Amino acid sequence: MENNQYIDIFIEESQEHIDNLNSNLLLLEKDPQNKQIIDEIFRSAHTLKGMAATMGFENMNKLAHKMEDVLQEIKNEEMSISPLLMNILFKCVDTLSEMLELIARTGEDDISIEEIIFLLSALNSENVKEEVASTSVKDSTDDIFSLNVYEKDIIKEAVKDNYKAYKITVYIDESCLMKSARAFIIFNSLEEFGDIINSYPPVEDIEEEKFGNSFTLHLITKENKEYIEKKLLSISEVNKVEIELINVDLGEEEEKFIEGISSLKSQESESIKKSQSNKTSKSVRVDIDRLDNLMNLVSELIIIKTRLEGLEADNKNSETVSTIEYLERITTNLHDAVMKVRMVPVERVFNRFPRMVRDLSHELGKKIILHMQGQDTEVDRTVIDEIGDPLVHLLRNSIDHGIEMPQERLQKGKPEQGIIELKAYHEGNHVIIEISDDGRGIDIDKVKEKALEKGIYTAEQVKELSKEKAIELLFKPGFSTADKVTDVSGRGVGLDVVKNKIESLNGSIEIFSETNKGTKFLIKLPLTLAIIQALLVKIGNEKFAIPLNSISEIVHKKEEEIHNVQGKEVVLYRGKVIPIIRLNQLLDTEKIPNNGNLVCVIIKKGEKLASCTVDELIGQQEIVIKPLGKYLTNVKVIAGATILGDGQVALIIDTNNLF
Amino acid sequence: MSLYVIAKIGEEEYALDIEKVQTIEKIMPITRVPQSDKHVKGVINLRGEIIPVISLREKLGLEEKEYDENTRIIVLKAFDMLVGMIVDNANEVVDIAEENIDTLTFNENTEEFSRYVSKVGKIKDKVFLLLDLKRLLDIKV
Repeated sequence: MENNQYIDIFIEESQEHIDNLNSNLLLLEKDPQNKQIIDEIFRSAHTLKGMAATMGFENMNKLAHKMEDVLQEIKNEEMSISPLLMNILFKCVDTLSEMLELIARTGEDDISIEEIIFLLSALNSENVKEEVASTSVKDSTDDIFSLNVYEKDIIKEAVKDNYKAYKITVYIDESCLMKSARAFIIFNSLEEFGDIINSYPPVEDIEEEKFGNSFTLHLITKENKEYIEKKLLSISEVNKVEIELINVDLGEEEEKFIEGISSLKSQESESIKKSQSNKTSKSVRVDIDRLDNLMNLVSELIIIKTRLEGLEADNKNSETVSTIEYLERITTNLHDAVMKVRMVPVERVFNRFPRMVRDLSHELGKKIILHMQGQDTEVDRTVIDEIGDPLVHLLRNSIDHGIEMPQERLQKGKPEQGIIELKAYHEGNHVIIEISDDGRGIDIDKVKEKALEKGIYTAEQVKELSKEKAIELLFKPGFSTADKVTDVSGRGVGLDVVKNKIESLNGSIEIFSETNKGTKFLIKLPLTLAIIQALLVKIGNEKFAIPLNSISEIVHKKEEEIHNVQGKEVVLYRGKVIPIIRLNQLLDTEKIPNNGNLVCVIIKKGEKLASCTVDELIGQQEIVIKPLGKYLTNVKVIAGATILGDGQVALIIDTNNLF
Repeated sequence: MSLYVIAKIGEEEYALDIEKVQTIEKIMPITRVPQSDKHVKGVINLRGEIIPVISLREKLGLEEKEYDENTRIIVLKAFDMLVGMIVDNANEVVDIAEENIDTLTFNENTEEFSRYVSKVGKIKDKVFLLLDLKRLLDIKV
């Protein structure tokens, strides 16, 4: 399709509008009287409709159009907001979202919309008394084509004389060669039995063929709809005709009043629009690849800078020294700036949660309020893309297992409505995400029971099991305390997956729980994955980097302190027996004589510790992580590579895979 | 008409579709990657990008040879990835007409190199072995 180059933008923008629709519908559900929200929803639907039409996605266009109709009626207060209406609107948004996904995958929007259209039309016809073709908007202010006061007067006068006013949209065949001539014929045949008040595009434009495949006009006539339709369709190359009766039966004063209001409103909405457009004009949409590229270049610059600093040591010229210092300051600032560009507010992920909580709580018959805080906390794009699923898991957990049914809560003397809090904030170089509920908490006894049942611990061990240890069990694969498996959660997949995911992001997760008070999950994530602090070491004659956040300590041990237990080498560290991993063997490097002295880097993975032997410590350094390339995906012990100041490549050890 | 980069291994001349060749570099420091296959020599830093490098000699089951000033790394961009390939020399581009390319039929597993050569191209009396990148880079599917 020729629109190919725009499809990415289309998808991204549509996604934004769908997100917008979702969050505004939620707001509307809570505050049905709020006109501004309705306007906002209407605007999103309208924009979606327009974009879909431009891109040629018929189904999407139709659905958005239908939604717009219903919204218009809500706007005009011809329809009131009911739970049924809300559900249908939500369903529309879901369908739109499905379509968008399909478009992203296949470039088609082939999703059946008959059912949802039917529902929407049913809503429409219920509320519309007159015999009006329910397909399109009645004289809306947002419509490009509307009547001015003068034209309305004409119609009003005509209606008094038993004339009827119609809005007619004529679609001409695409292949039509002389569209203006065709339009002229259409105009002529309409003039035979009625008067054309105005048209869009204006007649002049139509004559000069400055219009697409359709035009719209207002006609007053004594004939009925069917007659007009028949007349028009008898003209060749006319594909489709949309006719709609216009009602202009408002009293004069009333109308003036309404006009006054609507002009006030339009001023208002214009000012909103203005502030919005101000916002948009200040931001630019940039492809993430370009940012990655920029990031790469900055990393290169940092590497070169480090090299220059190395040369500086030999240079006594103060001019050179100060220039290099200046360069250093600039590169540091540049690096920070580029990092900031890549930062995205967590809102991007949080956005979909209110909707999810609403749907799930409805489904389960629970009453839940979701409080969110710190949506504007910024995290690197790479992290954002990964944390969505784990968070969904945890939220589902809280909704399904945490919050009790309303009766149960009342019995416990708690308010009927459960509260789930989602918080995000910065802490040093990390971002913390908290998910807490005021539900029943984790039933420690039940966890212990399960542990016994699964044979993880013996009866005695279970008795002495501390609360913390018991909670830790929840992260074991296949461990679930839910009595029944629901659609929502409880299949025993979840927490272990969540933990793995978060650890793969170099983060950590903790659970705090108190019976009948609630449960809190605390997730700690690094701000970025692209740049980390690492310890550079020498193993054999090769340099390797070990991520600093996985190192707990560096200790010196003697060869004779190493013991052999069941064929495995272990060492005593702070009263614990931990395994020794000889990195030179694992990484197959040259063996360097060590005189019986070992440098041990103690690494951690959750609670687990291990001691890695290295030959030499070089020092701590900020490194830029680069992937090894697709060709080398099966190398387990290496997490990536980095380029050192002298241009050498150092491999980064994946400590998580050493255990 | 299609252009091919000629990679030399000893006296043998292998042809690579020029479309797939990103750049040809002189030999540079290679960082060994542990726990990788024998033919994988390691990774290089090519202007800030980390690229895995394999030895065509090893891949074809031939003896390794000391690197010298003629040794080249041909960086290929194929199947959505970048891979460097070490060859004895690469300094020629030829134009082999479509009709002068023949598909070979080998018995499976005859010789190591025949698995990676599926076609030969001829220019006058010279014969070039066309490398099958899909097999050479172990692309499944």
